[in-house]
Amino acid sequence: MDAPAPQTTARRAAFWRGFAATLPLQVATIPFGLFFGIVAVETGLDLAQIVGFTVIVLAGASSLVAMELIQEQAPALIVILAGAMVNLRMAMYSAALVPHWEGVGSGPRWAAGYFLNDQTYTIALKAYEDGRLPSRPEKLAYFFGSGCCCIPGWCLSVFAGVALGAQVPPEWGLEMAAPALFLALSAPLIRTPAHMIACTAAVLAALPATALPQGIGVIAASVVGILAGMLAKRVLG
Amino acid sequence: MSDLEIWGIIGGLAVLTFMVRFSFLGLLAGRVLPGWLVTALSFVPVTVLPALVAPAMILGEDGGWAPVPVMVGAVATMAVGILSRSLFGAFFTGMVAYHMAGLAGW
Repeated sequence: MDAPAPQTTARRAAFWRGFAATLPLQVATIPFGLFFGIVAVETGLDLAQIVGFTVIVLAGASSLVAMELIQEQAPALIVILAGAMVNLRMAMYSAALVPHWEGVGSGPRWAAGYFLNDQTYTIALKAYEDGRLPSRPEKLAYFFGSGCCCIPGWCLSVFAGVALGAQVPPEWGLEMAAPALFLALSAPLIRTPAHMIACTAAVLAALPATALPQGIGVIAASVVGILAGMLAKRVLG
Repeated sequence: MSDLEIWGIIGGLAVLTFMVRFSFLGLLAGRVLPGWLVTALSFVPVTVLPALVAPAMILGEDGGWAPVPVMVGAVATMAVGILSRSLFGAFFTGMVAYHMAGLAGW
């Protein structure tokens, strides 16, 4: 067999580097996925529906919100809108990749419509900005390597949660894994006073907003936070 | 809720999520977005996720406060995340703080 072309070798290496860089984050994915699987069973979803949320939607935070709202018998449209609101952050991730993906064809872009998530974005963008990936094919391979680590990691963790269910002892503190992961995703992005003000305003607004119908409260509190942040940015410059 | 409604939610959420991920890479590729919208989007990750978990981290179920270990875990996660900018460090510290506060009987 011929030796692979140097470009192929570099691409493969970048793929596995992306995979390896994402591996430590599975420490957070596993308890979150377990918790998600347990909640899914408690919600009364059947196996096909759980697979639907896990594999087709592939967005844990928003699916968790959706399941909580399903438990509270919220209208389906509200469930979809509240879940989608939680995913709006990924529009920003999408925008952040654009300058690094200049000239990339439509195939990988469509695939990113599935692969883009908190982990692939965080891991890939960090490597892009450090200048560790000189060529565009390597950048792509790194991104998809990251996805090929965290997506199976997520699905397997959820299915483990479904299988283990009530056998997981409460001392594991799984109920804290999801909020801790969400806060850990958010906090490192608070880099300016305006971000801090936006976050604080959203948190404060979320407390009285619990009186609103489920799902609407999260949307309302986020809008308050976003407006506060925009105002702060304008005033503080 | 009926099975049909749940599949409607799965389908609706899947399509909207795909559109959000694909947005700037595909749907809006090459289009210049108004500055205010870009600014607003930059605040989405620091508002939606904290707003989502804040009530459960601060308020209890019967009108009181949340359990102390939960508050300790949340504050530790935020503080370490902001200061170190490390996702992993923030998550790990938060979980450890939560368990330590629980073991301490707070």
